Amino acid sequence: MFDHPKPRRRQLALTRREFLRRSAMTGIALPTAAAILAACGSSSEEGGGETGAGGLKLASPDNPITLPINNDNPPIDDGLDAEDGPLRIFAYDDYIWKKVLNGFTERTGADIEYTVFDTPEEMVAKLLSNGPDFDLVVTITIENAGKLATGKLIQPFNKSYLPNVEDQLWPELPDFFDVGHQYTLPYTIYSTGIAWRNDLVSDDIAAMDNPWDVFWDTRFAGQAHLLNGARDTLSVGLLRNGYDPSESDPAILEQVKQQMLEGADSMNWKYDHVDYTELSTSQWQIHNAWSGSMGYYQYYLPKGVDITAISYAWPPTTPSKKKGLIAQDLFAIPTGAAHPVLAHQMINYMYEADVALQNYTYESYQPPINSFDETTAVEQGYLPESLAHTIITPETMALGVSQLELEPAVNQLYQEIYQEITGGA
Amino acid sequence: MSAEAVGTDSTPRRFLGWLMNPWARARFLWVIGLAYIAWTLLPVAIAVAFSFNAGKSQTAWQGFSLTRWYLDDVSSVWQDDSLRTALLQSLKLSGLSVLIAVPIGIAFGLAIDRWRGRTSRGANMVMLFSFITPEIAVAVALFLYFTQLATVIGLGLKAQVFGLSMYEMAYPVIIVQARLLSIGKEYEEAAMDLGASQMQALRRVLLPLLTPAIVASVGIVFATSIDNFVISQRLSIGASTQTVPILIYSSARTAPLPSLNALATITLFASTLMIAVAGLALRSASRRDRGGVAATAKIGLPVAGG
Amino acid sequence: MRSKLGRGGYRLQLFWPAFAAPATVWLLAFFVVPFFVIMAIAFGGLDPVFLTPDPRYDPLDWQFGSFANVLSHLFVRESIYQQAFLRTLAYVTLASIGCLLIGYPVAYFMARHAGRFKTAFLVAFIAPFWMSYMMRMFAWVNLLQEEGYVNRILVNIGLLQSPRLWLQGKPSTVVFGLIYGYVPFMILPLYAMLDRIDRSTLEAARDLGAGQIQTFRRITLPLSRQAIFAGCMIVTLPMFGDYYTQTLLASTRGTSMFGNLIVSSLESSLVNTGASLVLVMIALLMIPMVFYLRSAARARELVA
Repeated sequence: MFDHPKPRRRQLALTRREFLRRSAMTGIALPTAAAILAACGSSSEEGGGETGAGGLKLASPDNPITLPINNDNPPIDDGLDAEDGPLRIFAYDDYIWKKVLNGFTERTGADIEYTVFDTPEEMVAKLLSNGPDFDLVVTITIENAGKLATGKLIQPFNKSYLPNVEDQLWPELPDFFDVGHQYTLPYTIYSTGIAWRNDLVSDDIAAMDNPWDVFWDTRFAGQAHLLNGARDTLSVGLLRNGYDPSESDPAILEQVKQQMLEGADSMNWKYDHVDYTELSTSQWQIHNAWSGSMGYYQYYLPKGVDITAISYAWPPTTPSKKKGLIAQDLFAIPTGAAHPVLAHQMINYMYEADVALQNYTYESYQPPINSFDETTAVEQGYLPESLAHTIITPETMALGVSQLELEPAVNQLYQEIYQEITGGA
Repeated sequence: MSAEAVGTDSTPRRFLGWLMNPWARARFLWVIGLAYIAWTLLPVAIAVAFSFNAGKSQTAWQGFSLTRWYLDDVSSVWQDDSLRTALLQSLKLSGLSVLIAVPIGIAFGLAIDRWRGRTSRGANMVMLFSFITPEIAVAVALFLYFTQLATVIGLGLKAQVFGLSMYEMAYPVIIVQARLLSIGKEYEEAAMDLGASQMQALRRVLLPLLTPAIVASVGIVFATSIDNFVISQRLSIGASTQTVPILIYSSARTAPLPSLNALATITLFASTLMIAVAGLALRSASRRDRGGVAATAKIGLPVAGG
Repeated sequence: MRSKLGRGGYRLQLFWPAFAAPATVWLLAFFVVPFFVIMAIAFGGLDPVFLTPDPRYDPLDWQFGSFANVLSHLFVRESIYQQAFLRTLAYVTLASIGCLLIGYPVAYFMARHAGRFKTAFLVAFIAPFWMSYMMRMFAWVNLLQEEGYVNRILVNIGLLQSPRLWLQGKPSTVVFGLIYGYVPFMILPLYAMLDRIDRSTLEAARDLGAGQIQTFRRITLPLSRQAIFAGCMIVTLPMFGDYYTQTLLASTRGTSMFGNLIVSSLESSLVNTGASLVLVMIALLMIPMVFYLRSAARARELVA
């Protein structure tokens, strides 16, 4: 009835914290983050690099990072038997299809426990406090990958358990944040753009000069929703002004913050990503949404409304060519997980062509695998022609920008701005 | 209100006339009383009614269906995992809270009443503080405690039980203290004068007299635990530790299916049942102890003259 | 332990303390220490990499910089914390007054005029206490939807031209929700007091020539002063920490309350701030809390 045993993860945290306190007490000047990481046994990375203040190396497409593999956080051994289970998955709500999960259970005999989180920040906080309670985290984001790996909260893969990945993974997929996919593997890729009900909104947002302006258009007050989470919410303001979604200049952030405050007040934004459940009561007309949600919508539209009532604009592919986000949701295995072999098997299972397609037909978030392409979705009837452009190709991928890892102090600033914009609602 | 504006015989005017009757002070208050009861209970009644809605809507009545959201539909309480889990979790949590909070609360209430001194007054103060501190403060304190200090326990059912039972403890204490005030010390003192030991006096005189308080405590702790939200949410760790109020909170604004209403109705029924049982037991217990002879006879000592 | 021959004349020493022990341990472990942890975090440090709190359990280690920062955001600078704080004060005041204005007549009615139906009314009145607060608010979320019954009825009888968006961040909806949620707590002490007023006192006043209103004003009202105070305390203290009512009924920046900020601080990486805010809340409410405890203790002594 009560919770699972808590293995060695606790000791790691204590060690790091103890080190900090001991160093403070003995009067050693508190080292930079880089020195702390060095003390914990990490090796230095390749490439010169962009370093934020404090010595933390930040990954970017111009500055790819190979994450270190440490002795006290090794991958699991080869050739182990799968554990009995249950496999404990930590993910966004309903992010893997129940049928696919059941298929895994049938195949391996292991039950699946599915725990939900709402935002990347919540995910990180839970991993910090209860990492070993989970075996597989389904959505690490790019900006968290480096921190979590260097902080030894996730463990490196043993690729011998992942033969499907070898065959299927897109070679062109960016991996600057984890060169060689040592700690993370993509589950889905998607873009973040603007979805709208074309039966309620007559504007052609895709043709607008700055599609992001629509979130400040008071005609849609109370009917425009943003994604929740500090990074996603702020990126709307940043991209609207042509800035990078990982902008760190406080002056620019302040300016964007003011705009977003005005917007929040006049537009009465809601912040969520459960957009589809509100479709049946048409509680929004415009939604800052992920491309993967588009196919999902067909299950939730009210009677009489067809999936063709939904339109999606991704600014880089519109005439205006304004910047837009591209993202990958990554698999990772927490350090100290009780069922790592099962976790590896689950990842391998998800990379199987049939399974991935089956999952796609329900989730409509696209797996970046060779057996799946844009024609599959439309020809097999999973996506209407009008939304075919939501499928990502290597060409479109190159047009997008990713949310990159931020320096801790800048991250803090983002959180504070986000709290101010949402008012804690 | 002029006659021209309203019309001599229109309904509003007649109603007002009825109300403003000089003997009608009571009528005005009756209207208020009934209106209040309707205002307070009708929304819940409607929510319960919609759990029997034949369709999916929360706002449009689409016909009556007894079992759609309770048993039949794929999303019904019986078939939807998350709803069933929430119900079980609510029952588990309240059951365990009762098992812990009532005994130690009763014991504490007794002790504070009988044991005078600075320590006991201090302990009582702390207990009272736990009762009046806003729940969010207690919840945050517990959350930080279990995630930073008592990480051996961590968040989850254990934490929920510990936190909630602490928070609920004040109810039995207060109830028992009130009851002790009305019982007074005579029975116990009489028993001890007649040779009973402290323990015997307690077990065979005081405890039976406290039965109404104990029963009331069980009922109240159960009913409030099953509805607890702030503490149990803060200490929860995902779907398996979600209780019914947590589920309602996270789904309420997203156009949920009537199965949520069904779930809420079930817990409403459970707590009503508990309170009813407690109330009835209280009635019969207080009727029983309306005779001091009964209490003395319980000691097993001969009644005077025997 | 020394033998205590106090008021009760009981001679056993360890007996009663043993009874108090389990609950005391519980209180220490799950109330006192957790609040100490809050202080350890609010006055503690910050992990440089993850920005997670680094609690300091040695009071000599405490540093008050970030706490002072939070205080200045709350009281000095114009910030969301200050806005939320003032807004919460406003909502709580309005809602408490609303509770009183509704609660007093209802309590009065039940105590004095319900007659044969008193038990029935009592049962109906007690009912909200064992109904989940969530369920009661959930019921209103459905009623206040754009196509819900409230709009339908109001439009039908002509009070509204077109359906109103009650759930789109209206302070009035939030205050209404708070009143609905907390008015039973106001009624409780009022009813208890009004029920206790001796019939004969009122009859005496009537015999001496006082009219109904006069009797009320000069006898009933003064006698219920203590109860009104108690009711206000029972209502305002928890209301100050309420955050869920607002999230259910409005959920916008313009209506967020103090509790929302605490919760959102915890859920983003601003845990230190959250802990500091909790401390501030307790410090502010400490005075009314102690006042309330004192008066309750005094009242109990009168009865004992």
